[in-house]
Formats: sequence, C-alpha cells, structure tokens
Amino acid sequence: MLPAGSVVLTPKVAGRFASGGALVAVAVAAAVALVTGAWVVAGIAAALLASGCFLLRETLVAMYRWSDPELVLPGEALAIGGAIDLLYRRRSRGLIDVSKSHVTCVLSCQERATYRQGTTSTTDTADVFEHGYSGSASGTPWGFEAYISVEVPIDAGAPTFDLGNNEVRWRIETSVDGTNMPADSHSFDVTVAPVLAEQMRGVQDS
Amino acid sequence: MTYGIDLELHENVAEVGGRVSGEVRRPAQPADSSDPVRALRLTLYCKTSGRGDEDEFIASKVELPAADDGAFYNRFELVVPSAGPISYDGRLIRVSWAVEARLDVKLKRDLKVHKPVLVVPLGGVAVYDRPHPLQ
Repeated sequence: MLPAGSVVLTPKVAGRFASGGALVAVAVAAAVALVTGAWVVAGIAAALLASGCFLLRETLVAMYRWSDPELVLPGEALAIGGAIDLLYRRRSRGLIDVSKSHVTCVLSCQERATYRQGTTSTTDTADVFEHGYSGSASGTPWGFEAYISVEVPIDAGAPTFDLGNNEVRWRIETSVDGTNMPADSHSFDVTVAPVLAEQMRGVQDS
Repeated sequence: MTYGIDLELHENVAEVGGRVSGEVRRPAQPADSSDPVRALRLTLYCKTSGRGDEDEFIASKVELPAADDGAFYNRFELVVPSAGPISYDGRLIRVSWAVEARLDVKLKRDLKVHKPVLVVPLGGVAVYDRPHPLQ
C-alpha cells in the first residue's frame, strides 16, 4: 500500500516495445517474402531476425520475465534542494532471486532552446545537471523493489518549465544490475516545482 | 511638455504565487498640456533571452484610469503565477521578470518605465539575491 499522495510514473518510452516491434517487423517481412516466393529477401530477413534475437536476447528474456518498471514518487513534483526516496518496483513472472541486485538512477536536467532560421527550426540542448544514485533491491512476492534517495540541487538546473521556445526538462534514467536482472534501462520524466524544500528555507546563501 | 512616470516597487524579490506591490506616481500636467493621457497600464511580464527565440508573456496587469489633470498616485499589486517560471540564469536560457508602467498617450508614443523583479521559488525570499541557480 503506497502512502497517500504518491504518484506512480511509467517509463517514457518502453524499450521492450521498440525492440519487440523491430523484431516483429522483420519477422513479418520474412513471412511475406516466403509466401511470395522471394527467397533471397526471405533469407536476408531470416538472418536479420536471427541476429536480432541474438543481440537482443537479454531484452527478450526481460520482456518475458519482467514487466516494465514503475517509479513511485512521494508527490506530484520534486522540490528544489530537497531529498526524497524514490521507489523503483518491477513485477516478475515467477520467483526470481534478486539478492545482490541494485538499481542505479541518474537524475538529469536539460535546457532546450529552439530557434528558427528561415524555415528551419533547430533545438539546442545543454545538460546542466547530472548525478547518479543507487539503491539495493529486495525481493517481494510479486517481483522486486528498491528505494533510492535522490537530491535535487539548488545550484544547478531550474524548476521544470516549457515556454514554447525555451524549456527545462528533468529526467530520471534507471537501470538494474544483478545476475537475474534484465540489462535494460528506462527513462522517466519528472517535474521539479518552483518550490524550495523545507530544509533549505532560511538558509542564507553566502 | 510631458511629465515622466515614477515607478517604485516595495520589494524587488517576489515568490512564485506571491505578489509584486509598489506605487506609481505622475505629477499633474499643466492645463495647456497637449498630451491627453488615456490610462496607465501596469504589467508584470516574463521574457527569455539566450540561444532560443524569445518567449514573452504577461503574467498579470492592472489598468488605472487617468485623472483629468493627467496625474496618478496609485498603489498596485500584481500577481506572480504559482507555476513560475522563476528568474533563471542558465547556460542557454535566461528568464527575467519586470514590471512595466506604460502611459497610454493619445496620438503619441506611449511612455514606458521598467523595473526588474527577481522571481524566486516558494519559500526562497530569504535565500535568493540573484536568479537561480545559486552557485
């Protein structure tokens, strides 16, 4: 049971769907080539399919054994200068030993500035903050979970905003490390509110 | 002859969701003045500068009707949006806020006065003395 006010985030782009979709597309192409008698095309597609399955074997195993992860935040947004405990959780198919596994997450802030020259629109980006955090995973009856302490800096980045041409985004990128764990990573968009964390209030900057 | 506008802010630092307050004054014009003033508009606006194309928006505004002699003495309050953005001095983007007092003069160029405002995060008035981030 999650505390009241908790927000559950799902990954921005599920890598499993992208990888699985590419393999399905190649498989369909191979099948169509077989049916139409285009043996050379079918052969190439089959080779692509085999090598894709080999290269993506970890992802395919993860697709079968693990659901996409969820990130649980204590509230809608993070505060500047605040430290919070994120909950990373993931469901598994069957009982899997997750001891000696840990979750790594990277909190990052990016400025995005868009400008137009004639009919061309260009977006420049600058990563103004990036910091890694990690937490140990523990098994649960339905999978595993890990608590990760994350701090939003007061001396880098800005609260999230999007004014059209100028934008500041925050993101948390997660990955799992462990013998029985999928070697995949996921990205979650998070919001940093223009609110100073309680513990930073009244702390005079020097 | 045109008399200028005197714009004074009580504080030049405001939190998101808070208010910017101040006073605006303009002396009475001579009876033979050829500058009929229609109104005085006060706006709190935000604009960006830097690598990207400029974004600008008015967060709040107040319009004060003109007196017969063209004089003003008014206190005002303008609301800062709770969603921000806060004043920011980043690598590609700079976000700045200001109060503008614009005198709408009939058939003449409007007179304008600007005063910068530092918009800080909620709870940050005692902490910030310059745009975020503090480094």
